[in-house]
Amino acid sequence: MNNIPGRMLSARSISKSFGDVHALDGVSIDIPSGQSVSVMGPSGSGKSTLLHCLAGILRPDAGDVSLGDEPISLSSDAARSRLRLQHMGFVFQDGQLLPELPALENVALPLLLLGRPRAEALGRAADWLSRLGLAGLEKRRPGQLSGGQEHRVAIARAMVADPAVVLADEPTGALDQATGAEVMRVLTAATRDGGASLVVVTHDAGVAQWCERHVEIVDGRVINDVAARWAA
Amino acid sequence: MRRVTRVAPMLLRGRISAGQGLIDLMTVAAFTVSSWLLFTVLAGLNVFVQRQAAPPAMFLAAVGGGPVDGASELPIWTLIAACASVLLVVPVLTLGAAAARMGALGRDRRLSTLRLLGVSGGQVVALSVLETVLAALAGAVVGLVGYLVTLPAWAAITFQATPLSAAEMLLPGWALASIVGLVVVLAAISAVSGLMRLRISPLGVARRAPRPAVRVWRFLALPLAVVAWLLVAPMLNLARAFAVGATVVLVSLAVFMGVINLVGPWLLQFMGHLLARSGRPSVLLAGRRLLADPKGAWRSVSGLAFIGFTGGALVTIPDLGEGAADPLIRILADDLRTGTYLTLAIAFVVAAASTLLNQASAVLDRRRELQQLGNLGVPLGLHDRTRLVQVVAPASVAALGSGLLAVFFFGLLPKVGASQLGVIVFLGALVAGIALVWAAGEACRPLVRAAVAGTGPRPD
Repeated sequence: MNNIPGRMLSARSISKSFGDVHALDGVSIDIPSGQSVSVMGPSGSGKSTLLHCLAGILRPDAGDVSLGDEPISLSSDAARSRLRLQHMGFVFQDGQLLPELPALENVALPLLLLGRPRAEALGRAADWLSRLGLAGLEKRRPGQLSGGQEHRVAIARAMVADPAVVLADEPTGALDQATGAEVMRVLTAATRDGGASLVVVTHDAGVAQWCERHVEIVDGRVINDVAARWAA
Repeated sequence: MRRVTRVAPMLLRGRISAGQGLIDLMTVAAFTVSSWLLFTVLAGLNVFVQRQAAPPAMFLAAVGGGPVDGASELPIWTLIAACASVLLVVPVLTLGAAAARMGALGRDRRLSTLRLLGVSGGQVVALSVLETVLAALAGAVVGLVGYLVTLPAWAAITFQATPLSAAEMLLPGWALASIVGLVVVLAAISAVSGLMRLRISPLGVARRAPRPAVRVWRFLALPLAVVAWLLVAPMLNLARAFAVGATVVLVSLAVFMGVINLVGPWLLQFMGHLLARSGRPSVLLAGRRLLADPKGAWRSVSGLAFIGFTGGALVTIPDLGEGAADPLIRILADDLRTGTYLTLAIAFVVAAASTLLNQASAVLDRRRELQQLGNLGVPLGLHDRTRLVQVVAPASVAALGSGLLAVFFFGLLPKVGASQLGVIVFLGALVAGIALVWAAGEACRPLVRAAVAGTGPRPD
């Protein structure tokens, strides 16, 4: 419902510094609707800063970020938060679920925050959990789920409000290789089926290969931007 | 164990030099408050015991013209002081236990790293207990200094027509040492109990074990206590066999305190079930947090339960004194008023400290989670609204429920009535207590802002 076809996430010449450290130096990137993009680079290259700027969590020192017609980087903090809640989904490496809430309510939370009725929010959450193979685990709390199951719950939460874009920061960093691959399979399938763009920040080439496009960042600059061989 | 004691000072130094010792500082501060109050409350009780053995001359002179021998009535004061002590000692010790648990839980990430390095589970527990014991000892010593420094200030308060003197309020050395020992031992027990929640595997993964639900038998303790008191209370006749009657009252009061502590977490859990049905995220979250840890939620409001209980007791104390011909009655009425206000003041301090401690430790504990929610776009106001529901709803239930229980308990005692002034003070204490607890919760607002912004102090 929030997924407006053709809505593109764009960054134009964005720069961001932390003291003397120039994390981003004039980065421009367009992410068309429905495309999956991996952002790779060594530690400290600025890939997480780019993700945070794209999400509106950080405001760039220079340049603009927009989602469709919405100028993210010019908005107030409250407006950017609202934009994230309505149009973006997030999957983090860890600490992503509320430990007190059962899986079902964790997934329903974004909808409840958007003011949807409880029954509708829980119904949609149950539907997403079922689509991701978690039917029967709705009442379990995060501590009672495996690492892979927790990530799938997080993916369901990221998708439940039909976001325009899903942003994932090292989504498999805390998982073993097999579970990480399964999480990426679920994540890319879910965003593809939901028509959402996907931006994955990772240092793992195995994770990046699940995406249609690869962007490489070094010292805050994009040095490579290519389509995956299988997608080209 | 030797290896553990060798690394403990190094870890402590590291935390302090890295500016990450906030949890330790708060833990020591909480132990300081609870120890200082424990010294003070027990010293106050000791004053009345001493005066019963050697009645003060000013008191005897003041009641000399009355119809009864004043000295023979002094046990009434001792009984009332003992009741107030029972009311206060439980929440004061609970505050200490909460401090110990906070200290232990705040260290889970560091402890899990030590497990990864090859430190055994037993050594990890020993290390945490050692750190908590050191914090308790430091707090108890600072509390002792605070108690000693404030001794002269008690001269401003008069009981039995005689100002309290510093010499009277000074407990003997063995008692001071015993209280320090008690604080340290209880801290160690609470730290071990807090660590039971952490399953620290050899892979260094610290996972919070889900807490089992609070059982319904806790609630059954309430009707049992009520029925028992309905049977026992009418048999009391304090005038005839004062010592026996007083002992029964004190023991029963302690039992009721215990019952409140048993039933409280179950009631909050029940309330959590109701709140968790809400479609409003703040109410849902508050309900789920109550359900996730009803005992912890109770610890943060139990101080208020005792404010409610003290206030409820006031309702049953008839308005005496004003215009009474007997000087003994006038003095007793004055002392009841002074004692009640003093008890309420101490209970307010305990309630505010408990709430502040629990809310601040909850924020530090959830720092990463709060930051992630901010990233998701969750508005800051949600945290404020959730905290409001999470603090005020249990506080109201605790204070009002305990107050009503106190009315029932003291209402069945012989020679009691009803007091209009008591009702006003009771309601005033409830409102003030809930406002204070709310304010203590709100004091954590900057900490939440800092956590969401990612600049808050780390809990490890």
